Amino acid sequence: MVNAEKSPVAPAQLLAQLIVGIGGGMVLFLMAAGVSIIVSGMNIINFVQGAFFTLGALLCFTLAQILNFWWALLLGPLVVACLGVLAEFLLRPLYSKSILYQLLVTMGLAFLIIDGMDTIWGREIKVVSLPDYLNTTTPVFGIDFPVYYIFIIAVSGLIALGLWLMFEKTRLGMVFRAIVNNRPMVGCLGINVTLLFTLMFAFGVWLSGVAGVLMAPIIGIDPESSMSMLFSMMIVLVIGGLKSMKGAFFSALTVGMVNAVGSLFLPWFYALIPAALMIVVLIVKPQGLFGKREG
Amino acid sequence: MRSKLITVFAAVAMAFVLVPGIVSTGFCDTASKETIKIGFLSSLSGPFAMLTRYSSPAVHMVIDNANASGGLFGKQLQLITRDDQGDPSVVAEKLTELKGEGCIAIIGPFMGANGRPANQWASTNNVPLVTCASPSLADRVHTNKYTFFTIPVQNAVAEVLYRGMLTRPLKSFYYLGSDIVNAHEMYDYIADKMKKNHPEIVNLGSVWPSISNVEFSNLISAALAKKPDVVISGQAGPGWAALCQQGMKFNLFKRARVVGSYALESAVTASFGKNYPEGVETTDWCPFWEQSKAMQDYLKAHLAVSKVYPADKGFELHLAALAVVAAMRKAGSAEPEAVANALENLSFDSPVGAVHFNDYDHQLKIPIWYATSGYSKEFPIAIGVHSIKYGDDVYPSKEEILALRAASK
Repeated sequence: MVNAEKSPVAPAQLLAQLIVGIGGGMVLFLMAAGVSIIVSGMNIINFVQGAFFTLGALLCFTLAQILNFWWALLLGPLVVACLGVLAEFLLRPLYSKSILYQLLVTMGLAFLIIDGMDTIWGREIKVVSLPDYLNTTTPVFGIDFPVYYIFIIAVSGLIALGLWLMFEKTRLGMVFRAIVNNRPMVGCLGINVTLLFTLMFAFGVWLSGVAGVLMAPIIGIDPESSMSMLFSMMIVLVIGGLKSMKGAFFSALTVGMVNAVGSLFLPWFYALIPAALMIVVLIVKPQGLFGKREG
Repeated sequence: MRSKLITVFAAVAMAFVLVPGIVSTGFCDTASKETIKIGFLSSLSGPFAMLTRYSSPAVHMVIDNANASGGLFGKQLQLITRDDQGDPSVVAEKLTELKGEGCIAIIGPFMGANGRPANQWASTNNVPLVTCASPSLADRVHTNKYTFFTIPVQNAVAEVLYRGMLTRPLKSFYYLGSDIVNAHEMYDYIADKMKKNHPEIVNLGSVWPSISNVEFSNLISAALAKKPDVVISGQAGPGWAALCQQGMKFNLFKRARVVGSYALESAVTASFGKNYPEGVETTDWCPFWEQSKAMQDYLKAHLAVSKVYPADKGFELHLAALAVVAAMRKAGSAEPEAVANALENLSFDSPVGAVHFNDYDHQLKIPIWYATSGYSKEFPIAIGVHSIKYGDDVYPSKEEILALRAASK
């Protein structure tokens, strides 16, 4: 290890870095929220979520060229959600089966979708350009802060607020919460649990599609990176609690901000930070920070 | 009736599987007995598959040209391809398949961690392997009789970056690496040399995201907070594309010089079209914008075959294929042992001029350019608009390699 000069970090820079971390965390939340909804309501760990994320990004690439970025943001996640509905049909026979079958089928679906993306879009890296008014910066605590990241924070925040309102204040959300707590009882009350499962799955996949579209203009889109996206989502869920939406939100923000601060103070261990955080949480509270102990 | 249908279906399915297999194994194909088989271990799937479109044509061009000239020793050359899936654990298995197919030499693998298992396999299977994986100096120090390298060793690349950075005033630098051996080697080389020769240049530190990381906003912001003159990037491929995308959002390329390697790799620049950041300084060994006849011929041939501009990685494989064909001509034989012996000290012509393998570390010495990204009317993608060409003196010397080899014993 070569010694490098250490310079003190100004408070304004630390604040700016935390805001950058919030931006990163909000996207993580969108990715993880989709998995969390599906795990909470359906007891399925959806290994296809990473592939759906990349599919959202690739659809953004294509739709932004044919139409524009805004249509891509609207239509891309909807197309991904429709594919999610098809995927859910395939998973239905496995709801009562061992988790191993679910993992195998969802992994298989993930590889199928990845190969499909390779075939349709090719293996080369794809890049999405933004409209000029989103492709500029504004000064925030002395740094040139990208307007697009403010947009990401705003959209993600609105979605998080919408999720909270839906789950806490609407009848549909009440039924979803009931399914999470006691699925058989909900079925006995005459509610079409199968349809709700499909809606829940589609919605979870839609969230990944939104995350993919939002991330598309700031990454090099590569179908082969789908599984590494999934691992990032899983770290957030393990820290927050697999079945907790609130946990997904706060842990995503935590991971984002810890990463941001870590890049300033622990650069040599940057790659290990999320995993280290996960290990600490697993030791201290294995069910996650907001998870409930089961059994 | 049902069982008859099943039987018929099974027979048809077996026919679909077996007939192509019978035809391809040569059971009824006498032409394959007349060919000289050369293996190609490519990454058709997995994390490096994005380079396939840029790498396969570069190899096929050499084989097709040789066959168009009548082949060698009265036989046509046949390229047998296997997919290593970007996975080091299957490399030996695929190489063994290629050997089983009768391949007299093998080109590839082409990325990173697949190099070491391939090198070990070559030494125990006595089949010459010309690879563009294994850029590490350790692979040159501990090489074996059968493995030859067309990718410039990391120290040479780092030396070019070091010299290139110093062509302009420099007060400080920061390294935005990647948690892989090559990036660490590059940083250690540059940082050590700067400290030794230019102690007035401040090393502001480094950060080491995982190779699969695509979220660089924290890292870019942290780097810019230190106000470096130069940000050196250890990223390549999708990571570099993400860094470019996010870097442009943070005005990174306006606020600091950004230096890296493979930053003009057309597999990445092509996806940006006219939106690639200008002023990025990088090493390059396939400068398709250079006006030499040999390079322009290579460019035209590559475009005609693949419809894409040549990439450094594809060029490394092109050189490997040229080397294998040249070695067979020199040996006057297609026997693996003769080819391996002929590769020692082999010189041959390439699109970048005459090149040769060192006998002491099996490194192919090719010129390395230090180029700055920009645009010209002639090309629809970013090219090197200012280029400095470096020659053999950037590579570790024989004395250095032998000293390291002695020290490791």
